[in-house]
Amino acid sequence: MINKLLFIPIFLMLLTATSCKKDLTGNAITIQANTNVPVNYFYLYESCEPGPGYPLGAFYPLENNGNGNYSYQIASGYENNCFTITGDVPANNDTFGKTIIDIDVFYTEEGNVVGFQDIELQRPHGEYRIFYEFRPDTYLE
Amino acid sequence: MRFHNIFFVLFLINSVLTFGQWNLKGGLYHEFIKMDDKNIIKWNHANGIYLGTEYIFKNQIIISTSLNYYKLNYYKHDVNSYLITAYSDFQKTTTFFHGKIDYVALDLSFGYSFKISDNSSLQLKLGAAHFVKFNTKIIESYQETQHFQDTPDEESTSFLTTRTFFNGTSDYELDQSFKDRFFNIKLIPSINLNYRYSFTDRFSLDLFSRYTLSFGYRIGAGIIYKLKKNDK
Repeated sequence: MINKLLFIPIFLMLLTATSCKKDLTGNAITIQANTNVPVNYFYLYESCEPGPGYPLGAFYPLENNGNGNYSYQIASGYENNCFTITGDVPANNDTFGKTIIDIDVFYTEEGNVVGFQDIELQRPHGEYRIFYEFRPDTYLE
Repeated sequence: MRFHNIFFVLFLINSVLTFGQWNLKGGLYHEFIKMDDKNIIKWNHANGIYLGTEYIFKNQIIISTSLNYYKLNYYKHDVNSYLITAYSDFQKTTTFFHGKIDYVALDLSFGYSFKISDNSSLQLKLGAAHFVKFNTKIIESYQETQHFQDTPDEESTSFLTTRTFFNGTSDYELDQSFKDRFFNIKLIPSINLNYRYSFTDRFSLDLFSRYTLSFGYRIGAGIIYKLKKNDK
């Protein structure tokens, strides 16, 4: 009897502890990018597998909303756990100021931050290629 | 991960069934974790609870096992040296991580009990714990990289700065990102010093300190309940 009393709480504690690991939710994701210059392109790739110069797999352009704002919605139900955003910032020959690109990725419903990348380029600068990977199984609660 | 869980359960069943007359013990502790020299934050802290069993043989040899649950409030903030890269003359990388990491650990230790009086004793034990990280809650995590064309000083402005959220939660990815010991620890040895005072026939107070390699220094207190009196 005492053996059972000892065993049960330890076993339940172990089960409780080991069942808390997060899984990929597949919930909808919003991507928002803001720049203070027009970029040549912004693409979302559905993988992080390296390919010849770009990631492998299907890719989709981010919607240009004007005024340097770009966005994309990843619909719920996806199964891949890594995405890549690529972009191309044109060269800028101004002798002062900065080129700024902010990319924010978050769960559409929950608002949890999945990732971000903030880029500052001191002018003048050459062409700059954006390459940012994010994983939906990682987020700030 | 699944293998670890099965291993834990089988080990616990075996321990409890084989040594069913051990004393029961439980308690709380606080852990002080010394960070390496390059880390701006020098100390981190963890809190834990434990539940376990032990047996003291008539020759005062102790064998003890416990299941621990840790909550580590973990800060890491370091700045790498300037490096010459192919892209720029100098690169400065700053990493910052604040998260809450939960572990379970199965602890096994052996030692000797030195009797001080009828009611008190001092125990010295050597042990090892098997850790499994089962949850990481990231509160803030980023890496900032600054590129400079010349040797930077306080007035220098980087021509390119990127600030990026870390994009991985697996042990491997975090370990690679931070080159850190806390995301992929397994079996860790320790040395324990306990002071025990019996205040009834059944109950004892246990005050302890411990040094665990990688995890740091621990102090704590617990209660021992004798399921059966020790061998005479």
